[in-house]
Order: sequence, then C-alpha cells, then structure tokens
Amino acid sequence: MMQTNHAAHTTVPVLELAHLSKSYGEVRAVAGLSLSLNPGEVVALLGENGAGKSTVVNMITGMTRPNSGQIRVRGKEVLIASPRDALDRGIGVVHQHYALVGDFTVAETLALGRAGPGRLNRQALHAEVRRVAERIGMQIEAGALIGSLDVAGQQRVEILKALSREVGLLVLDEPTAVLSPEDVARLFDVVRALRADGVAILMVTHRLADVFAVCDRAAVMHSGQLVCDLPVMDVTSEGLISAMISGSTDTVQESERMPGDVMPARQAAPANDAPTRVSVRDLALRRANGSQAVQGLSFDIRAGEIMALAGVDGNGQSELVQCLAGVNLPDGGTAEICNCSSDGPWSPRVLRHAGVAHVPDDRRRQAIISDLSLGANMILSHVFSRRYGRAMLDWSRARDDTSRAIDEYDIRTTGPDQPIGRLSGGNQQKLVLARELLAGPKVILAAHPSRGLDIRTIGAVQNILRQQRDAGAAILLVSADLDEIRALADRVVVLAAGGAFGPVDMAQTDTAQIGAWMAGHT
Amino acid sequence: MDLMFLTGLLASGVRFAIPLLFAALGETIGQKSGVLNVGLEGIMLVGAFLAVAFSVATGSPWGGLLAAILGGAALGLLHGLFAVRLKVDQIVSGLALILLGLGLSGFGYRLVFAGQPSMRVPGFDRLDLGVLSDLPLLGPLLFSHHALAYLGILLAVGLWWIMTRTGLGLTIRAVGENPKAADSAGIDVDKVRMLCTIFGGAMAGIGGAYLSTAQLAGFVEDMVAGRGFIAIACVVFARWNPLGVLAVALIFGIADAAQIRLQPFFPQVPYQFFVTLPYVLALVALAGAARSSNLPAALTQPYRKS
Ligand SMILES: Nc1ncnc2c1ncn2[C@@H]1O[C@H](COP(=O)(O)OP(=O)(O)OP(=O)(O)O)[C@@H](O)[C@H]1O
Ligand SMILES: [Mg+2]
Repeated sequence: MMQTNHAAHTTVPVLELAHLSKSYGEVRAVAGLSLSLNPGEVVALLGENGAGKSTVVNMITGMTRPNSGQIRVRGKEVLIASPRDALDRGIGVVHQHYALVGDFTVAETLALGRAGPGRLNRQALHAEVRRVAERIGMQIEAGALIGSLDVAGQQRVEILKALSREVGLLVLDEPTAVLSPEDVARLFDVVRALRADGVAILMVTHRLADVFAVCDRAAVMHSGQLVCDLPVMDVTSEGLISAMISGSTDTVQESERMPGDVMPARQAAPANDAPTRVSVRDLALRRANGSQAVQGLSFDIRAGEIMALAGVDGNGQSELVQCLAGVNLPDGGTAEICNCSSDGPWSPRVLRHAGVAHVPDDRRRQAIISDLSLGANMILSHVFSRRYGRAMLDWSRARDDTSRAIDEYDIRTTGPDQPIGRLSGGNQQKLVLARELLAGPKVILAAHPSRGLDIRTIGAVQNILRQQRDAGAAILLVSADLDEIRALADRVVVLAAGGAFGPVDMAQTDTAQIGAWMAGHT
Repeated sequence: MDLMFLTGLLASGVRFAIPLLFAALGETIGQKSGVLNVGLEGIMLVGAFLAVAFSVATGSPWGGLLAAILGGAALGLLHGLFAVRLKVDQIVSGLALILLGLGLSGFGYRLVFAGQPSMRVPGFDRLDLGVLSDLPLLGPLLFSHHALAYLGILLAVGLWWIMTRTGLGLTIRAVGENPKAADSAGIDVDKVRMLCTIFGGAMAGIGGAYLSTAQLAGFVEDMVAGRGFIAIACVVFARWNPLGVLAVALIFGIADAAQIRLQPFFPQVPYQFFVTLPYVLALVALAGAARSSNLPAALTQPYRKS
C-alpha cells in the first residue's frame, strides 16, 4: 500500500523536475523550472494567478506534456503520458475539481478500477477503507454515499483514492480553499501522518497560513519561473508575498504594495433608515436531490451593508444564492429583492432587471462558457439590460468594456478575443467579477468571490466590494474564509448542520465563535 | 369480464412484453454506460428479418436467433463506432440506425423471399411443462410460454445483480455517471461503452427475433411498429433498474394485449383509438419519470480526455 521507506531512500528524491518548460502558443506558462521533492517532504507551490502552478501540476500528473525538460521519479527519467501513468509511478493527485460518482459509497469509490469484474465483497472493501483511513488518522464512514458528504468529506475520499494505491508523491491543488478552519486542521493532520510515512507532498495554495502550518519548503513561481525555493524556516510572509508579486525576495517597494494591504476605514455604518434591499422570511429550500437544504431562514440586507453567509459548502449556501438569483423558487417562505417578490414573477431576468448581480460559486458550470471569448463572456450577464444592443450586438462596446476590465483587474490574457477557457482559474474569476460589477448593481450576490485568487487580487476584490457597499449596494457574501468575513462583513449568518445561526453584528461576535458555528457547535 | 378473459389477457400480455423486455434490458445497460441508442427500432427490424431468413435457411428457430443476435450486435457496434469512438451526436447516429434498419430489412426481405408468397417459418414452440402447463388458469399464465420468455426473466434478475453487486456493474455505472472518475481509476471509458452498446444491440436483435419467430411467424415490413421506442420509454419509466424494466415491460405488454382484446367490445369506437393506448401510456410515463435523479449523469455525453 503506502510507502513506508524512511531513512533508506531519503537521499533519492521522489520527484525531480529539471528545466521543465511548457508554452501554449505565445504564452510561456512554465519556463525552465527545476524542483525536487524528497520523501517525507511537504512543499508549498505558491504564485499569483497565472504564474503557472496548475501547469506544473498537470505536467507531473500526466494531464499535459512538457515541451522540454525532464521529469525523474526516484532518480529514473520518465515520460508521464496519462493520469493513469502517473498513478502507476506512484504519483497521486487531488484536483481542485473532484472526480467522484455521487451515488457510489466511499467503499465503492475506492473499489472502482481495482476490484475484479465479479461479486464485490463489501465487508472486505469496508475493512480496507477503514484500514487506510485509520493509518493516517482520518475519519470516514465506508458506507456513506458520496453525494451525502460535504466538500471536506469528498476531499477525504479523493485523498483515500490516491492513497489506496502505492503512492510516493501526493499532489494537492488548492486543498484548503473550500474547507472550514476545523477541516483545514484535520487535513493538516492527515498531511503530517503522510509525511511521517515518507510520502512527499506538493501543495498548491494561495494561503500563506498553510505554508507556515504544515510545509517544510516554500517554492514560489512568478511568470512561469521558480523565483524562490527555501525552507519555511528561512522565509517570512513579506518575503513570500514580494517573491510572488515582483519575482524577487527583496523587500516590497511601497509603490508595489497590494491594494488590499491598506484596509480603508469603514466610511459610515449603514444608516438605520437605509432601505432594505433583500428580505428573506422563513425561507425553506430543497437540494436538487429533494433533501432539505435550508429551513426557517430569515434575514434582511439593507443598502450599503455586507451580510456574510458563512459556512462550509453543502449547507444550503448555493441553494440560497440560486434562489435569490431567481434560478429557483423557494420551497417555503418568501424572498424579496428590490420590490420583486418570490410570490410574484421570479426569474433571473426579472431580478437582473431589478439590479441584482450574481457571482456563482461554480464558475465553470454557471459563470462562464469556456469556448467563447472574454468579450462574449462579458456580454452574457447583460443580455437583458441590452447594454450591448438588441438584435445586433455592439461588439466594439463589449470589447472596450473587456479591455478596461483586463486593465483594471490585471487579467493575464492575450486580449478580449481569447477563449476564456485558456485563462488560469483565478483570471477567469476576475473577468466574472468585472462583468457582474460593471453596471453598478443594487444587490450583489457574491459566492466565494475570492476563491482561487492570489493575495494581491483578493485585496483588490475586497476593495471593490467595499466601494460597491459605500456606493449603496446591498451585498450577500458567501464565504468559508474567516479572514475575508472579518475584513468585509457588517453582519453574519452561519449555515451549518442543517440549521442557521444569526444574523449577528460582527461587532458582537468574533471569528472563533463564527468558526464554532460553522463546525455546527452552538 | 370473466376469469378466462383475464388470464387470456395476462398471458398474451406476457407474450407482448417479451420483445420489449429484451430490447429495454439491453438499452438499460447501454444507457447506464452513458450511451443512448434511439435506433432500437431499426435493430429490432433487422433482428426480425434475420431471424426469419436464417430460421428458414437452417430449419431451426435457434439458427435464426443466433443470426439476429449477431446482426443486432453488428448494428450496436456501428452505433458505438459513430457515437463512442467518433463522438458523433448519439441521437443523430441512432436516427441513422432506424433508417438503416428499415432499409436493410425491407430490402433483404424482398431479395430473399421475392415471389414466395407463403412459406413456413420454423418458429419457437411453446414450452410444454406437462402437468404444470395443463393447470387451469395458472398453466396458460405461467407455464406455457416460449423458452425465450423465461430466459428474459432470468436475464432481468441477472442484470440487476450484476449492476448492483459486482465490480463489472460498478465500472459500467461509473462510466455513465462520471467518465472522468472512471478514467482516472484506469478504466477505458470508450471500451466499456462500446461493449455495452454492442450488448444493447444484440439484445434488441433478440427482441426482433422473438417478434418474427415466436409471437408471429413471419416477417412483414415495418413489423416492429414503434416497439423500439416503447422499449426506450420502458427504460426511463423503470428508472434504469433491470427489475423495474421487467415490471414496466409487463405493464406495456398487458396494455398492448388489452387494446387488441377491447377493440371488439366497442365497435363504435374507431380502432385507431385503441392502437394508440400503449403510446399514450408511454408518453405519460415519460412525462412523469423524465426528471428522475437516476438518470445517468453523463448520458449522451461523449467522453473526451481533458
Ligand atoms: N490550455 C491552455 N491554453 C492556453 N493557455 C493556457 C492553457 N492553460 C494555461 N494557460 C496559460 O498558462 C498560464 C499559466 O496558467 P496556470 O493555470 O498554470 O496558472 P496558475 O498558476 O495555476 O493560476 P491560478 O492561481 O489562477 O490557478 C496562464 O497565462 C494561462 O493563461
Ligand atoms: Mg491554477
């Protein structure tokens, strides 16, 4: 099963990348990168959006092939042709987007592709799951249906899946982005157990806290190159940030500081007589599979206020946002937004007309069309408002808007005509934000607006949300990130374990309390 | 309505159900793997024709059955080549199969049997189970069908067991639900889909063979008359469960038998009204079950690597 060679092999790196390069047309995604990982070493791979991190991961795991350079596994040069190939060489990966079958049990998921065609021995399968899970101190129920697990649970299944074969290197792509603080701690326990077992781990992340919590080394990429590769003991957050932004570990120049660094003071608390823009009463919502997602939820959001909807994914947040965006009708209770009521006409069209902007959490499925250009994706949200005309689309205006967004949000792209699917995840997200905030919305439904964004961009996005708030927008901020909630929210509602806590004023609570609610403790 | 009428109705309902059962069971496996085959109608026609032709040629209905299985599998393979390997739209490829099946069977029939107005087709005999078959009521209902009928019922149970209890079933379900997950587990998605599609074709071939060599004795152009589509409705109505398919096929079979037997009682009603009954039932079933969450998530979606 798992690799348990400690001292014997410590001198031979599990994985060595030598002068690896990959270009997509004109874009040099990775340029001459060299990196090596020893057994039992946890390495953080950091970098701004579009720096090339995912491209490195894709080359290691056989999703794409390098243009030049070598990959050596345990000292032997190899060509990794497919994900299957990578697995056979002991390289497991947990992608950002999990590949799981919803109506399989955990045990069935692990059996897939490994069990023979004959009768499944459920008892043996369950025992196997328990054995692998126990070994790394992971808690999971072998008979649980994948579809009934939250993201943290599904992530655990992905990790188990990788570990159920002989794995010397585990690659984790932004594993903490979707987790609650408690689940992050649990994940790190697993990482430590694996490290003790001699498994090398490469962890892509945007969160510096992750680096200092579990990593042994920090590797920073900038524009496709490795600009810093140091033991964590020898780095500081400032050094890492400056390496990410400017490509050098020297102190950051004042002029290069991130816009998010300076948190502007709250202009003014929303006046008590500010109009209520969003009003939710006794709301009940169902999931697509019919189960109850939210029950008896009530809150108001006034103009000029940011309400955080905290909680780990899967507790009804996406159902609520879908409902408020007009995609679904409530199962019980009512929702009102800017004089529209869910008892009356209620559709995305009606609500967009009323001034609702929607940043969905599932970017690839709900926010963008990968094959279309940035400009075309810009138009998508503004079809009903006819910003770009009626029958004949005003492409030049769309291109202008897109070009402006590219400058303002620092989107790394070849231009408004590039298909958006070619952009890195973070850069896609920036375009979605730019599009939604373009027309000065009255209500902003922002589901994880900064998920997958680098630190600098997060700062910029948070500033933009503050500006929108000060301009009078009512904002619903769905987030699992306590720092973000603390930085932005005026009030907070927590959805967890089938119930709702709050709303409470941020002034009357602290992040520890919110974290506890998110974990379902009262 | 007396008891005799009822047992007669049920017994002929079973007979009408068998071709649906085979075609729908095969289609269930195909759809579970993510491949929709709307061309069942065409495959059943070819199966019906081949069964007649080769029963006559070999002098045994089993020879005809074998030919129908091979012919059905070949058409399934064709659908797989287009829809799975070449990623052609599954509906388009299926529609092409219908036309191909109509043409092939009609042309083949004229070619082989031109100018032979009446010929004897060696058909399947009903199984004679002695005492059991002679039982009043139960005999005709349960113990006097063709061997194929019992085979079909066994198959339904067997396929249900395979899909829910074995590694093979797990593989097929994964391929139809999330091909990417299957791929990353080292499963050859396209190969699994190909094999399931071929199996589906062979099963539709058996359905056609039953029509022409057991239910009737002979081939008539377009004799499948929409049963290929009803079979697809069965799959949806049964929520992709082979045991459900057995039950639903029986319901449709009985509805078909009922429409024929009710016609003489209501001479004032145009017979076309009765003929449409099973189709109306299919429509209602589809409207009710189409949004089922059992729908294989990747149905009709070709799989392309990354
Ligand atoms: N399939 C592709 N076609 C064209 N360009 C691509 C493709 N994939 C990535 N790129 C480009 O390569 C560069 C690096 O992208 P990559 O996805 O590796 O960034 P990243 O570091 O993972 O960023 P993020 O933090 O936003 O996920 C980007 O400029 C991106 O536009
Ligand atoms: Mg990335």
